[in-house]
Amino acid sequence: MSDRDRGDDASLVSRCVAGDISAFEELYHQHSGRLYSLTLRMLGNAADAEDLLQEVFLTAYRKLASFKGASSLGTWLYRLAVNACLDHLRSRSARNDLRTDSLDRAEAPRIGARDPAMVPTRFDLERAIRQLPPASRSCFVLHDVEGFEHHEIASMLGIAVGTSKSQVHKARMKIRAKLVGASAPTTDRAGRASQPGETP
Amino acid sequence: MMGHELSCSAVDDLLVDLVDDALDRALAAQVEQHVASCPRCRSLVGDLREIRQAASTLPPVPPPPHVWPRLRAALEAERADPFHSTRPTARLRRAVGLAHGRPTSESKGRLLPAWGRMAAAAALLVVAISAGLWSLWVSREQAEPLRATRTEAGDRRAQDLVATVESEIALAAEHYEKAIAGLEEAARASGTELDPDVMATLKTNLALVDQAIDDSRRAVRDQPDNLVAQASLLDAFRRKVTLLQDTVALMREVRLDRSAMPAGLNEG
Ligand SMILES: [Zn+2]
Repeated sequence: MSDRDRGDDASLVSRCVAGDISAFEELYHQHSGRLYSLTLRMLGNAADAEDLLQEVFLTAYRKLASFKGASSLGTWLYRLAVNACLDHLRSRSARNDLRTDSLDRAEAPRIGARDPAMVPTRFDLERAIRQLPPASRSCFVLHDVEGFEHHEIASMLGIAVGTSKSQVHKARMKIRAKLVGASAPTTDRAGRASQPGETP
Repeated sequence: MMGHELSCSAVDDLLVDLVDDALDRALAAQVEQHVASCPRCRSLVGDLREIRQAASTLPPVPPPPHVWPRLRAALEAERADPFHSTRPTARLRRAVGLAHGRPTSESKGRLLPAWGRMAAAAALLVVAISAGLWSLWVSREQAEPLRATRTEAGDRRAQDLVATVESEIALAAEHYEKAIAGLEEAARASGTELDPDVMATLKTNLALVDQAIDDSRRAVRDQPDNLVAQASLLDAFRRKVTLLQDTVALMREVRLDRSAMPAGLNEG
């Protein structure tokens, strides 16, 4: 983060804290795209994602006065949003799913030549992500979309590193099955059921 | 555990690390060798790499345009609520032995606008009540040195004020009690209620204040010109409103802390 960004953040924050709603609107327009993408992909549906986005910005508004500028405003907001997503997922039945590495296995690898249509369009990929079960979806989004490491995801979600890996793998396999429209046989080896001792 | 000739199933077990580029170099070379000569694994690994690559370059999705106006309305409702940031008093915290940020409740964004409006309405009432209390206080202070010559008109004025304040307090109490019931219901629905001990303490305190209100009300009825009785009645009313406000603030605080700061990530 450059000094100039830091200065811009600081002045935007102080205008917001002073009650300037247009400053908050500016902050919203700067950051809502990234945060909405995160909430949408993590939660898998637009209505929940919008509610959560609103909640994140309201929380940010209430807490802005305590923003110390140790990180960039974007990072601070992003952390609020990740936490809100995790909290949302934890509060749902996703908890069991996340911890027990649910029984359904990834679709088996498809035998045969490479499907030339496999290069996924953005639209198809977004839709396939939405259709994932919550546990694989959150691990996949955090790892492959957001770029977190497995050990970071493990500590965020309170799961074992191996569980994060197997959920990400399961998600990729399911996405592949969706994208190639394969109805694969169930001779699965790649699904990698959870190892003993994977629960924290 | 595996020789130079890797099987397809051995490759399957290494797929996630292979796609993440997390295999050590020697093993990666073995896997690549198999993949290069096996159409099935080549297709699979190619697809998974494609997916990983596409996922990491997904562009941001802007929120729909109706989100900002809704957020703005929620912000304005909150700004109109002068005690939205009211934290439970230290006294109440001690009374209920509250540990800060106890994770007990889910937050629900769509409750906020409705709650904001209700809080704003209740806040207006409190302002009105405070004005009533203040003017009664002033009239009492002025009356004090003139005790011997106080007029019946002055007594009536004080009585009227007590009646007005009492009815306004009842309305305010109704608002707060509704808010508390709504928050309790939301907490129950999400399976994460306020600590039962905390709720029990709050209810005991509320019962004590109600008892004090009844006692003072009886005293005022028996001795209409007793300023001490009037003052204690008003004081009991004030304590009731404060307690209800504190309860709402406490429930909101638990919800907000829960939504903003779960374990795992710290704020910058
Ligand atoms: Zn093979």
